[in-house]
Amino acid sequence: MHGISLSTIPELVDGVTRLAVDADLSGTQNLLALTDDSMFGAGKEPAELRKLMRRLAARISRETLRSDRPGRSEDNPNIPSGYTYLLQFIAHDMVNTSISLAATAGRRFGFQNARQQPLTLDTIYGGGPDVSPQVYEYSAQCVHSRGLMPRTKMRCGRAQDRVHPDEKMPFADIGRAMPVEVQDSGLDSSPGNPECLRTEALVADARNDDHALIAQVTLLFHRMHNFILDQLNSATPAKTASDAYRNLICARFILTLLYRRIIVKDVMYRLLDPSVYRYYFLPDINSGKLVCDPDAGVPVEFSHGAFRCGHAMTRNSYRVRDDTPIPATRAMQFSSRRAPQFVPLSKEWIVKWEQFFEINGKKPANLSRRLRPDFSSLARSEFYFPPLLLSSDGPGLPNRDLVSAVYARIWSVPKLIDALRAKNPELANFLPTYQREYAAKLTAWLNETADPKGGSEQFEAGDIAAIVDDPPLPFFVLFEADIKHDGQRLGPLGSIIIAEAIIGAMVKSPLGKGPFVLDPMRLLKDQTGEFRKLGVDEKAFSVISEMQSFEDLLVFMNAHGLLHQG
Amino acid sequence: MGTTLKISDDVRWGKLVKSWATGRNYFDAAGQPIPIPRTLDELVRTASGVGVDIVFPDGMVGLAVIQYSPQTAVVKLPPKAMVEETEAQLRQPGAVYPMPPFYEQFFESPLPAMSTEDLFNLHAARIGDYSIRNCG
Repeated sequence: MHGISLSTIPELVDGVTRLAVDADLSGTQNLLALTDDSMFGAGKEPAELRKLMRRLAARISRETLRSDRPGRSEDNPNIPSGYTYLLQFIAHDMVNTSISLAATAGRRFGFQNARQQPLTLDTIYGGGPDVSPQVYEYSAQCVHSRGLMPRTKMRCGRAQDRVHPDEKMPFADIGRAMPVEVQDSGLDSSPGNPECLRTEALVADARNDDHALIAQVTLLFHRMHNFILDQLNSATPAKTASDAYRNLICARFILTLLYRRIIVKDVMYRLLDPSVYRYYFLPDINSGKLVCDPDAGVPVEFSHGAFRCGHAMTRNSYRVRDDTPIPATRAMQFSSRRAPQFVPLSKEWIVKWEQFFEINGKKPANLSRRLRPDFSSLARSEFYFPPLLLSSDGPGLPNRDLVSAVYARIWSVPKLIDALRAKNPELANFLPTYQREYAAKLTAWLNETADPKGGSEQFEAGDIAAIVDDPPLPFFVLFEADIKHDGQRLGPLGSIIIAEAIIGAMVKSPLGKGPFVLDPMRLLKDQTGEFRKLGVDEKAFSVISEMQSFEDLLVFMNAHGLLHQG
Repeated sequence: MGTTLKISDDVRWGKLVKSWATGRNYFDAAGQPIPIPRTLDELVRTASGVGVDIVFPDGMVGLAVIQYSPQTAVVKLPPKAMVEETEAQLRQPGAVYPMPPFYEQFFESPLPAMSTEDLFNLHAARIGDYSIRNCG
């Protein structure tokens, strides 16, 4: 999970011709120990498999031609569109790899999951104010202490009104900066030059600047952090640098605790198969049921398989502030790194969150697309997602995800299902065997929309049998969701992989250590004793409600004027 | 159907048009030529097959495909109602010219704010351009 940009590494002269199991997955792991013959694509030439993935991507693209399509709703009433981007945010907080395996054809030199503390909001805090100072406000306190007091509040930036550029807009964007008097050959950045470009996003994770909507989710977290910090500073003023660090760390603990609770009680509840959810998350997080080793890192079956499902949830357009749909391609323009000419955010993209999440029982205007092997035209766009390798690939995110699966050394779907059922017979209660449940349906699906006279690339002889024998995980997870829940939530295998990864991350990186430990499932007010150990007055928590869903968070933020800050 | 024409992928749509114009397959060099559609349904299906979703305005049912020759000037007149509808949009306060997004994306520059007079002049210039100039 490396964002829209695709860092690559130099081509090796003697490239990979056969893939084998690799015990060192550079900060990731396999869900269960893998053998060569249980790997996706075992025994096949990766280059040929890559071309097969292109033909499968072409079939996915032809889903628009299905004869029953007009009667099928693409809206998912179970998952509003805000969750699409909350899931992207969570993905950034779980995995941070600088290199796309799809782009490097599986060569792992330089590939490393840099996210060592998953689900601790590293994606907004970075290394803290001393390692990632660009994220944090340069406060008056910092000025007056000659820099000895740390920066603790997070930056928010002013949006723009393109039609009335002199109009002062609210601080409704992430912070963005323009370098001045630098040697960059692409910039004329002398002081006062109106052409200065805001090429630098003032965030901890550059991927949170990929487009307008992920930046808006990031902004919410910045604002909520600042609010919590204000409460702490008010109850227990920070007179010294160590006080300030303490309040910063406590604010992070509180925000992370709320965030984890929302993930468990809301995000997982909506996304996962109900049986899997009950098994792993009720009545509490059941870490004793994990089949994977949490300390070994995030499973590649999560990062390069099941969690790619979010790509199928993106829509072609969004009703951002009112009933007027705006093409989602416009959201892609707002990125300091890719298109600094377009930032800061323009007012049309200042999100009204009630359009993206269910609030007070009111259905939002934007629902995510159903979880199916059927993607928006934006996700399939050649402009935004051109082929990585012209001789082998087609355009679009679906093709990229399939190619990543070729090189990630992930489990073969039928074998993973068998292995999970054997490892834990309880899982067999809701995880059906592949052959019985899916093989025939998948064969039928692959045969649909075939049109040898059409412009789309068709399957070659043997392709369909090969895919049915060994379907790529990112595709199968969507197919399973469609078969089992009409695309409203994931099926059992996708859900198990995600539950294992999420719980594994929380076990690997608990909130605190030794005598200070917080539990996201317990009420905050019942854990004030933990904060007292750090010298924080419990008055600081009196206004923070015990939220359990993203809706609760938004209602709370709205009540405290945090959604529309001037 | 919708109220305005929508093309999901301008690059691939352009490749499809080039395929029809030249008889070469721009998606698969070794592939068969792509037949020119004779109906709106055929056009939608052909475009879908190469990953382009097209939504036509409500009420549009017919299709005419014209290939220019270098010897004949062809002036394509837009429907009166469409011209007037766009003019009405441009008169709205804060109106922005409805330029397809790919121009901004390729030129990496946002469309500037414009006066109503400039918006109308740009509208006229674009209509004039597309009515007579052949792309090739």
